[in-house]
Amino acid sequence: MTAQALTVTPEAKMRPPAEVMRLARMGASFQTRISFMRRLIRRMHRERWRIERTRFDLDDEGYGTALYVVTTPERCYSLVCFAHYLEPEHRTDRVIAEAWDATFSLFDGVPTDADIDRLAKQTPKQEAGRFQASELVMSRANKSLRLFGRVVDSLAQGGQPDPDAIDAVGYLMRTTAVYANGKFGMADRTRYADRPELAPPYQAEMLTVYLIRGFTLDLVEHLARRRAPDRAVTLDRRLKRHLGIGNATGLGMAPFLVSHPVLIHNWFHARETALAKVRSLEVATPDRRVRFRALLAQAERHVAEWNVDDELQTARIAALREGLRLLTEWTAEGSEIFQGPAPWDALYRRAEGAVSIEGQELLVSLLLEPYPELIDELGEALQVDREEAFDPSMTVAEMRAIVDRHYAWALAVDFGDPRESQYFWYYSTEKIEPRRGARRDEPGAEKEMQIAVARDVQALRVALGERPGDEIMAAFLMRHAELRHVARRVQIGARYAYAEIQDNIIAASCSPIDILRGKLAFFGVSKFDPKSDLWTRITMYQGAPLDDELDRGDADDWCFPVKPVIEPCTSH
Amino acid sequence: MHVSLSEIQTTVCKAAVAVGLPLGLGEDAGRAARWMMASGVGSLAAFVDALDALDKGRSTGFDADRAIAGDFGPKPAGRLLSALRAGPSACDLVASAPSTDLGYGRITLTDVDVPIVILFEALVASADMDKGQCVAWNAGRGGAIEAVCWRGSLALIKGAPEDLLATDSAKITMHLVARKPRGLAITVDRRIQRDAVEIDEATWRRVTTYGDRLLVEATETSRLTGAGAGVIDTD
Repeated sequence: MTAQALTVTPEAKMRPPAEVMRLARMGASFQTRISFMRRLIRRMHRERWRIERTRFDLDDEGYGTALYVVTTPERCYSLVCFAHYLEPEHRTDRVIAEAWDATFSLFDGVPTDADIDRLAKQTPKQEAGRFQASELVMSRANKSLRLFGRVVDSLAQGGQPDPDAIDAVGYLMRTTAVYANGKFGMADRTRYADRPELAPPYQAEMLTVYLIRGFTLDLVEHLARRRAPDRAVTLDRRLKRHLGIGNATGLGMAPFLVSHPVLIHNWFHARETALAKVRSLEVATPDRRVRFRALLAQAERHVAEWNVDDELQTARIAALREGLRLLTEWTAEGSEIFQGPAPWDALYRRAEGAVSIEGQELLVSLLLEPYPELIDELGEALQVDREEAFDPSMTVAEMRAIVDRHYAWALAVDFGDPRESQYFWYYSTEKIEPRRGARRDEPGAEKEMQIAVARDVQALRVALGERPGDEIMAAFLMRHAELRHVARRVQIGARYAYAEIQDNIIAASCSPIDILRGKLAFFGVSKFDPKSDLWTRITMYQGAPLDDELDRGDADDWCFPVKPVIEPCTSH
Repeated sequence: MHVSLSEIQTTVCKAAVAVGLPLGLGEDAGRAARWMMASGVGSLAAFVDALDALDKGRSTGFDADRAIAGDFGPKPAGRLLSALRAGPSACDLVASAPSTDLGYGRITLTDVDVPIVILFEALVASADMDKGQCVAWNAGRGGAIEAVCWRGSLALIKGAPEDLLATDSAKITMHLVARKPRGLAITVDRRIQRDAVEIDEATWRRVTTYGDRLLVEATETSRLTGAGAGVIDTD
């Protein structure tokens, strides 16, 4: 196949960090082939994972315990589910809630009855519980009051729910937290980081959410059957696939990106390498063009169904729709863009000048899809399993040079302008959740989290300027221990080009939701539904194959899900 | 109670910041505590003692001008030298010895409050070195201790593991080691962790109580900034 012939080395087509790592672009990200959910589903398909519901002790109201066992080539994992009655006054979307409709633990292996008894006492307490190394992930979810009951009603009455209602919500339950990596006594990531199936980032968490989705689908059918044993029907498979798992994601996720610079570099570098590889292709063979057009059409339908209340996002979606129209026009059969060299690069460059940032980022996602053989291997090394070494023998002069070369964006921030230090980030007493406060209006600035990279880099640069160039950093830091964290960070930033969000995250202009979307896109979520500039609702696994569809040849073809077209239904 | 290694790392780091250490030193303390607990040697109580000593003012930092010459002593005099404050810089100096005029000279740290903390900071620092760090002190009743940290592994050359737990302050010497020591006694493999780290609740509470000082009381304004805020939950 000639598709792999390259016009230039991919490195020449890499988008620079100064363009990619800006909040405006991160906040326009979409899922790609290397997103974590996509990777997990591909592995499940490739390795023929088997998912069995081995226990479903739920009463007529749907309360009780269920167990799903996942068998992979090497080992088993189990999702232990506890469904509870939830007092209406305790129902809240907030992470600070203390009771939920359902709580979950992902268990390493198959739990014994004693394990389940222990988890029955701990899992429902979530953050207030204590766990063991046999537990990998903990989560909880609440029913969607807009949809859950309607679906049960329809099924119990022998009909299918309204596809429009399914599409409008997109999930039966939404999680409000998914914890792992040693939280609350659970297994450290180091315990399972060498297992191929869990080595890439967030695979244990993504597996948990996938299994929760299956549980929610089983739960509505169970309730309908218990309510009307002779009349109830199962949920149409197409509607099932269109149901994912919801989530409300807020500020808690934002500091994570700042405090894991190497991890973030790995993600963005992999995606940018993937894009550069495709842009470097000499030709776009007909089969790949066909695939691209089919996906573009799918994306257009997906975006046409993407409707939110948020005015800003609504405007961005409108611009995106126009951008997709242009992309369709430019890539139609016989288009001149495919007559010249490096057509995908030409398409991207044309989009840069005429399409919104959100349109450009969706194009990135689309360009990667037809080339699994070029792209998918890039998703194999996204994790970080070692801490970066600090070089104390580096001289002050060398340190100054790398600050100037790699952190010009940070040095350019004018902290004399109070708007550049408008906010501070801190941990709240409420469940130790990250929050953002207005520095001059709210208490607690003296306890702020030290994640203001631009401000810290400027302080480092000033102090470096006051010391002789041949002094080693070991000596410098004896006088400036307060700069130790940022000195270490700058050395990392010099080694990993995509390690930094190149914006000031304590500025008045910083919109945290951009940080969230940048990360969530790597998870593979869709249907971003911003509720403010501080948090967003999202949908995970919408359109993904069901557990009995994982062996199908098209198991990986679920990006940009669209509302299923089914026969007129009996909606109630 | 069962505590994960990542909880130990993050909690000790927060506690260190809460008692007034800069974040970078807190990060080093967190890593060292994690490695100590992963090794099965030592006790988290050592780190709590070091935090207490700083918080109560029994321990202090060092004179940078003297320290650069390899002589770490408490400043102001009359107090103990904080292992949490001095350890990372001492390790830096040993690690950078080949590229400085210090050559392979000996570094001394006088009146160190909790010596074992520095041993594990040296162990972390050694992980990415192509040489080792030797740490030695006299543990009072336990006698002399000499240990070599070699690329993340620990060899106890003199003394017994239980001697490491002696709580007496001591003078420490450190130097670079060019050859791998024979017969590594304790190996800390970063990929292989024990299933459980059991810590008595009282010790854990002492650490978390420090970390809690960094929390900011929730206000109505802050509540309105979290995920799910401002929406009547009829979702």
